[in-house]
Amino acid sequence: MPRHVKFLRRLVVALCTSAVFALAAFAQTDSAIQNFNSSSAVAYVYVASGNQNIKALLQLPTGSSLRFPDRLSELASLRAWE
Amino acid sequence: MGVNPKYLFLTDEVYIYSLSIAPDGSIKQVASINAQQFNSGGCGGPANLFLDRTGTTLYDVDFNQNCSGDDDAFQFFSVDASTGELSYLGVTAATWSYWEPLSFIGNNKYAYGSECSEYSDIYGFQRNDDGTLSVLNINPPVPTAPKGYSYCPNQMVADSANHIAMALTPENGYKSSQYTPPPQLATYIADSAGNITTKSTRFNMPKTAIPTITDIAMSPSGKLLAVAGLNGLQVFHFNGSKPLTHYTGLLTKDQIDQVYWDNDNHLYAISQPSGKLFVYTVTPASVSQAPGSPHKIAQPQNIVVLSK
Repeated sequence: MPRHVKFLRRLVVALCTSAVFALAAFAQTDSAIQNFNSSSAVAYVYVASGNQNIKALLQLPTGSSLRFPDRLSELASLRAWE
Repeated sequence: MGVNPKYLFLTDEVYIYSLSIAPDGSIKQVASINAQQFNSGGCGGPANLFLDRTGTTLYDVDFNQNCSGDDDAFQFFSVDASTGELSYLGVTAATWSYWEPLSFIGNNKYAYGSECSEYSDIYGFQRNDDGTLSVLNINPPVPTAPKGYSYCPNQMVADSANHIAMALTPENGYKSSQYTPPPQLATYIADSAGNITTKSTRFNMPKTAIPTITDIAMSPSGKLLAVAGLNGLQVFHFNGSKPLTHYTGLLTKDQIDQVYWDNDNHLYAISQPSGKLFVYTVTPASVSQAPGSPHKIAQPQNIVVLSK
């Protein structure tokens, strides 16, 4: 991989991670909210997205759809505590 | 992002944030640390978070460590299990090669990574009892590529034993061509001293249908390897020290940027340009897309999965 490609890759990563900088409250705009019982989940799925959100999702057992619960993430903007 | 059973870790290239994970999966910030202050040149900062297999040590790529623009290192932080706070432990030497997250083999003692740039490299570290890393003096062999090419090791991942899957992309200098042979998948094995060897050859390594690979991920069972790239996603049978074998064709033709498995046979794949999260149920005997997949997610950048 040429050097300029590596720099480009790093730039992309930098932009992506910068997008995670300010995490706002969980937005519910990407999928319908569904009722769920978290005790039946087999995994928690966290997706950082460029619109300053972390989507927190529940994966239910095989045969079920991924769930987008409405209150898994109650993040305000991340802040430095030092 | 990085995750262990209690905490989710994020970085903005200055700070690393610790978020607690409640039993219902909800997350809340509990700590942060300025990791950039440990960047010796003050030009770079933390990126590409990953943890050891026990989740007790958090690592990052400390990019631009010497302000030369191309020297990166690995930083290490201990994780306070009760508070989520991170304590700085140290940093490796900086080189051009250290960029991709390391992958720990099952003994959690050795970790490996690779670099495919104008300097291709395969490197390894010993994880010491305190979580710090010491570089291994290894010189792993690379199979002989088709005539006129050399293999560039651009992705690798370990299983929970002592095997490593590695994507080897044929390269011919800086020239690219539609006739360039496709990447192939090798398997390596680590010995008790951390040396890794392979019996893979260009004749027994399966070829991918993905010319440009972006990520690979080993299933928790160690029986399947997901391969993601600019033109889709494939799954191969991983057979330990024996050659990998073909399993699926392209499961999607969308660009896939990152893949992750859970412990319940689900394979997650995000596509940044198409804004989708794909979910598949994959076992060595069957493959199906989960109901509702793909899910629309605006600008997905990074994914981690915590199996319950």
